[in-house]
Amino acid sequence: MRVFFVLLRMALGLVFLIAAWDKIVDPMAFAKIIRNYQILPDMAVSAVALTLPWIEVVVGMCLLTGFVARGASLSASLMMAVFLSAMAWAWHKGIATQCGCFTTKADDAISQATFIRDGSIMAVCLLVTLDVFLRARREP
Amino acid sequence: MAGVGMRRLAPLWLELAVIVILGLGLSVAMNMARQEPVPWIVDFAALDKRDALRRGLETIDPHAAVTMLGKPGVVFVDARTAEEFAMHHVAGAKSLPQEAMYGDLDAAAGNLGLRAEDRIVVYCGNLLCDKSKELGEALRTAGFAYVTVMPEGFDGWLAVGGPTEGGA
Repeated sequence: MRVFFVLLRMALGLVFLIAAWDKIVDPMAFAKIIRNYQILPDMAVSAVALTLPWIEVVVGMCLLTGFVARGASLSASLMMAVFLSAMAWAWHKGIATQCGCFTTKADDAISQATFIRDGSIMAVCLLVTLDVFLRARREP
Repeated sequence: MAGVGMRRLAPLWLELAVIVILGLGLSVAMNMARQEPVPWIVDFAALDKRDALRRGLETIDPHAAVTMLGKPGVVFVDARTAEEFAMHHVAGAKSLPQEAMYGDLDAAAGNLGLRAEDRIVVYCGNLLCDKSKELGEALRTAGFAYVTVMPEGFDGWLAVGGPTEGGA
């Protein structure tokens, strides 16, 4: 069981690393996607577009290696909660924006499929977080 | 014994701080390492405005556009595809897909009843599309004097709760 959760944590780390790549390569394209959600003030958009992918990279690396695993798993869960909330807000408003989840290309529009995908990642985040915290309590 | 062991773990806030500081540090360092660093603060609205001005167009934000709806001589033009227009559009808007600019735009605009003196507000899907600017520029060239673009597009209109028709 322990091996299963370690592999799950490492897989989650890989997902975060993959998700960060496109956004790092083209931060302005990512900034435009963030802006189209119409949640953040314009002045904050570029800073978030530059910073968020690197936090994803750090979280991904930490999940892969197990370094500060509690902080990494909790950060991953919080980030997924924020991402899903933003998507739900856009969906509720009828905004047909790009998700900006895994790519900055125009082929990742918010849809039921993106909700299922990100919801599944969120579920894995919560599982890993629970496991990491329980393990830390049992095996300090 | 458990108490002694607990001390080996860094506090949770410290773990979170390490992640945030490493992320911020990397983002600053890697941006500085780019050939052309990306500005940390960008006035996107000003960029949109400059882009529109270069094309001889004015811009309007969705809040102001809502107040223009229904005024005499104001016509909203939807630059998206006919299918997108049929699904959902600004109340009272007229469909003039951007592709029309590659054909007889005068005839297409005439069929919609657009007049040279109308105040035309062109929009497309959202901030990621350029169709409204391209069509607006073509309309200006075709002799329509008062062409305004709403860069936030139909998504921006929905976000401010503007009236719509044909909601799918």
